[in-house]
Amino acid sequence: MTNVEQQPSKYDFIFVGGARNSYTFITDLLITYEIQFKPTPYLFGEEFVLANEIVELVIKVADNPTGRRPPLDSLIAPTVAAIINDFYQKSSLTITIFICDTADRKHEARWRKFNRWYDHFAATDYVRIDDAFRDPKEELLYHCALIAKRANPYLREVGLAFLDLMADFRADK
Amino acid sequence: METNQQPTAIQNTPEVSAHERAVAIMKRLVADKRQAEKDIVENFHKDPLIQAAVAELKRRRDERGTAAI
Repeated sequence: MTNVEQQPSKYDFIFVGGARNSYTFITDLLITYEIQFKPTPYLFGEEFVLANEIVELVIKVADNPTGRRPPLDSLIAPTVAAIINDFYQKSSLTITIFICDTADRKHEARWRKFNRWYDHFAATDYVRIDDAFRDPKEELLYHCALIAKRANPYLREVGLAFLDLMADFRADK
Repeated sequence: METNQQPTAIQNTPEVSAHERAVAIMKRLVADKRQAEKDIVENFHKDPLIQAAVAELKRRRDERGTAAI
């Protein structure tokens, strides 16, 4: 039997917890990332059957001692995917919403990054619904994605609630 | 570390149309995310839980010689 050394596949991470369900990890360059699953019970109305399971995914560089823009790092995507998987292990009914923030007009790059993270998922276990909405005042397009476990018993209700919300958003009258 | 911001109430009454309600929800979603991102950076050095987690990650990293696993 050959002894093949396994290549590192992701960064070590810790579940910090708290009201926003935080995780943190550091890279080899000592850049610290924080990932939050921020409770968002208002998304489909507080009366929605899984209102308390809805979270907004927030991913942010918390500290960057390099003073430079973080370089492309191939271990970040599998780390983010592993953290999302870990959170779903804790609560399989979780419904995650991810919105691309367009404040600095770099949303297309962020959306591509999010897609890279998602590509590392066991996609067959999850259902993802994508949509986009436009803010005519700011002339900005927001991408958004909803993720739920395929085994979620309320998958149909979740999907319909999301499609209804987006339809209501567009129905200007 | 949480901010004490009060969430904007989203009306669920017949006087507020479904469209207005959806717009309010999406605006709040975007605003909440921006606030959360701001809080992450501002609280990094102040939050003892985050600092403890980072110290532990650095300890493990020094032990392994890499942050990767």
